[in-house]
Amino acid sequence: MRTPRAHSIDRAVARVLHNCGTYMCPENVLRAEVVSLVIPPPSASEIDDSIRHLDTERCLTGIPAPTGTKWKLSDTGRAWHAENS
Amino acid sequence: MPKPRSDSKLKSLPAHQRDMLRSWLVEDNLSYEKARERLKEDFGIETSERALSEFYATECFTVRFAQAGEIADTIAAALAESPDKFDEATISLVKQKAFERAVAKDGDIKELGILASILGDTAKLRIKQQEVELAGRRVVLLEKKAEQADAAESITRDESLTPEQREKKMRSLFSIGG
Repeated sequence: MRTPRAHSIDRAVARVLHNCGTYMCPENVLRAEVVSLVIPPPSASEIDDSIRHLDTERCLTGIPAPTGTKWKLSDTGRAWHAENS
Repeated sequence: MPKPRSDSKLKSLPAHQRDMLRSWLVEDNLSYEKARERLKEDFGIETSERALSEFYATECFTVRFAQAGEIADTIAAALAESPDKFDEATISLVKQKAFERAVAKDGDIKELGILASILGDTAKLRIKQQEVELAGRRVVLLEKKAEQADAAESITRDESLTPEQREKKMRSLFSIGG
């Protein structure tokens, strides 16, 4: 069960990736945007938890890169974002 | 009369103040706390961090990502029309890099020109290498044919061979079955 706080971070992660459209979002950009979108700003571990949760729920597609993972919403993630935005 | 919401104040800021606030949040990467202080000092506007976050979400974040996508699409279209003939994989890679550069708060679009030229050079080099390999294979084939021609000539000149033996040797030389 997600807490309201965790859910709002999940929504911010999905919102950032939704705004990337067809492009992959570098994790550092994703984190920086989530920090700007959620008040009070989430900690790194809260964002970790959110990414892990959405990834487990198959909402994300991640491609490892030398500069860090790049993320994108999966079809499930797009549906999840539409339901939760 | 109800007090106006603090985020509505930000939405109705004059254009130059809105641009300034956008630049503080995006280019200067100012925290909401600092931006709030600066808004009060410079423009005499009191607001909340939540209102600033909302302003960022609607005025900065969405717009910035949309612009980054447009920049990447424009670069991809330019590459597709370029006489250098970039392949699909190169265009996709440059497009993704362009998006990343454009969307990063400290991104530098100028780097894209360098990237495109490097990728272009790499693609040209690869094509050149393929051409050299092909030319090499052609030379090997021609040498083989020349050797066969020499051998065929010596078979024809060899008077110790019967016509049947000559035919058999010729068939074997050119790997003809039967």
